[in-house]
Amino acid sequence: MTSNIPILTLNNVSRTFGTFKAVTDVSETFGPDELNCIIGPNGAGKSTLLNMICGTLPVSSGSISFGETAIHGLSGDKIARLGIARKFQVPSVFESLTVFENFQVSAPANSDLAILEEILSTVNLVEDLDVTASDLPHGKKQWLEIGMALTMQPKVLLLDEPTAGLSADETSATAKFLRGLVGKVTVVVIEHDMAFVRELGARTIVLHHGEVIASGPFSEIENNEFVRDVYLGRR
Amino acid sequence: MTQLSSLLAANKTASGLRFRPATLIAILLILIMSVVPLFSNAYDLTNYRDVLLFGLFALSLDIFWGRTGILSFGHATFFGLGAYGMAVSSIHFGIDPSYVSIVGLLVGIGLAAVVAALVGYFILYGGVRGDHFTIVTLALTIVANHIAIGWSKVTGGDSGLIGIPPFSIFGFSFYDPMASYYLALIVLAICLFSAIWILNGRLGLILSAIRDDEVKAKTLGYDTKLILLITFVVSAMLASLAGALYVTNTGFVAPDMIALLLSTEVIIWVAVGGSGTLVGAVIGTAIVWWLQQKISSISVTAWPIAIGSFFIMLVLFFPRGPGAFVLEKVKAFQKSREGNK
Repeated sequence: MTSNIPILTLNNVSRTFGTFKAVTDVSETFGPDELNCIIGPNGAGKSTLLNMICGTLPVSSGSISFGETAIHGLSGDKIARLGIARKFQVPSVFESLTVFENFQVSAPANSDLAILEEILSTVNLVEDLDVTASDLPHGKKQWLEIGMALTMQPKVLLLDEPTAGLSADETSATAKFLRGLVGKVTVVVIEHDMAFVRELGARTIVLHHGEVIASGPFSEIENNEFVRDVYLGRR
Repeated sequence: MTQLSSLLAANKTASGLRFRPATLIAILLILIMSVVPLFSNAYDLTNYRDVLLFGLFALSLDIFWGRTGILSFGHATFFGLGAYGMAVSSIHFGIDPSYVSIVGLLVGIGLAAVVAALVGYFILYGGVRGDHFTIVTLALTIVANHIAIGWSKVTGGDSGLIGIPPFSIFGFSFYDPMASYYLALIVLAICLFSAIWILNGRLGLILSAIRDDEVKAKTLGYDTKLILLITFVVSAMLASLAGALYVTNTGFVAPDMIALLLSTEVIIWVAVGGSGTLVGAVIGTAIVWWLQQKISSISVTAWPIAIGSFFIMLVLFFPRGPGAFVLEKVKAFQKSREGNK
């Protein structure tokens, strides 16, 4: 893709559940500080792929490397400490803690307050500092979780459907925010919403039945006959 | 921006060393308990001393249950290991009386730590959580109780062991009720304030985070299994400390100190005081003890019925304790009133 050394490399990654092949032989590389998007219909294996990258699920075969370190087989907390942060599909925040306490848990000990402050304002939660997370509306929970991922100062940020349940305005704001991360951190976004993906204008990988059927700039993907058929359910 | 900085800074120190109401109550409680001997006779004092040690036992359970949300039904095992560790090493080995108490204490706490680490390793690293954890630890108490009864050569079997000397250190014996009362109070105060201080800090936040969503905590880089295991072992060690000190007061150890009933009782003590509040565990122990005195004086058979019914209500209606139950109802009532306006 780029001339840079990839930060994240997937090599023939597969995952089976019993006889069901959820992900088959996915080989992809992600360059440093790039924005990437993985799309595909329901059950295409997107979340499974993300789960394998961050160690929530072991791979059935194949290998995953972070820089030059093989990370498949490492536990989730070790992978996180290497610098891979993840936002779950269903907003996972610590419901009984306040917004600031959530940040305190996600940020490394002795983090610079100025950085936390910047992130808090980036995700628009300054005024909700002392609000218990369970009392936040859905959209703000999504932002809180993104903010928590950022406080980890990750090198790779994995986002599983960041716009699920957001309004059109919020979705557009998310796209703008993610485009702003280009050049700062490698981002891999899983998405459903085509309008959002178009707005991201990122390199896009299409999964179908667990296999990569196309990858490239979104403009190319959008005009790919096969991808269209898959999305319209013709194949 | 600068305003936000100061707000953040205030918030940061506040969550570390915040004087929560519970902390204030803890200070008051310890102050009151330290003047109690001035107004009590020796017999009452020995009772209060036992309540303090049971309060320490309840605190040990609350550290694990209250913060991680995982209920251990096996804490009597650790109390009992402390008790038997102290008893066996002070009776069987002919250790010099000047340091037998210290050896007994170390043996008791060491045994509890090893058993908690072993059992905890297999069940926590095996992913056992929630009700399953409760059931496995329940079985642990039953196994420990059978060993205490069956291995009569060492444990004295059903009749237990008699003749444990009062706690002594550097030649000073805490034989006197007043001395043993203050020993119990000082140990309890140290453990209570350390627990409050540590759990109000970052570790407390992380444990709450694990309780809310362990997978998420893991993806933030926390070795959640190790953190839970360490908390479990520390909690078990505190329980054994209470058990070891308790038998130096009673002078004997018996299998009911390592039994299912005691595991049940300690859960009730913590629940009555409100789990997760730490100081509540100690207060709950005192309340239940007082009720037991009152109800038993009316009818001896009434107490088991009362405590049994309470336990059933606890499971069915207010799993987070009666205090939390009332608070929730009050909050819900306030919300509905606000909604109507």
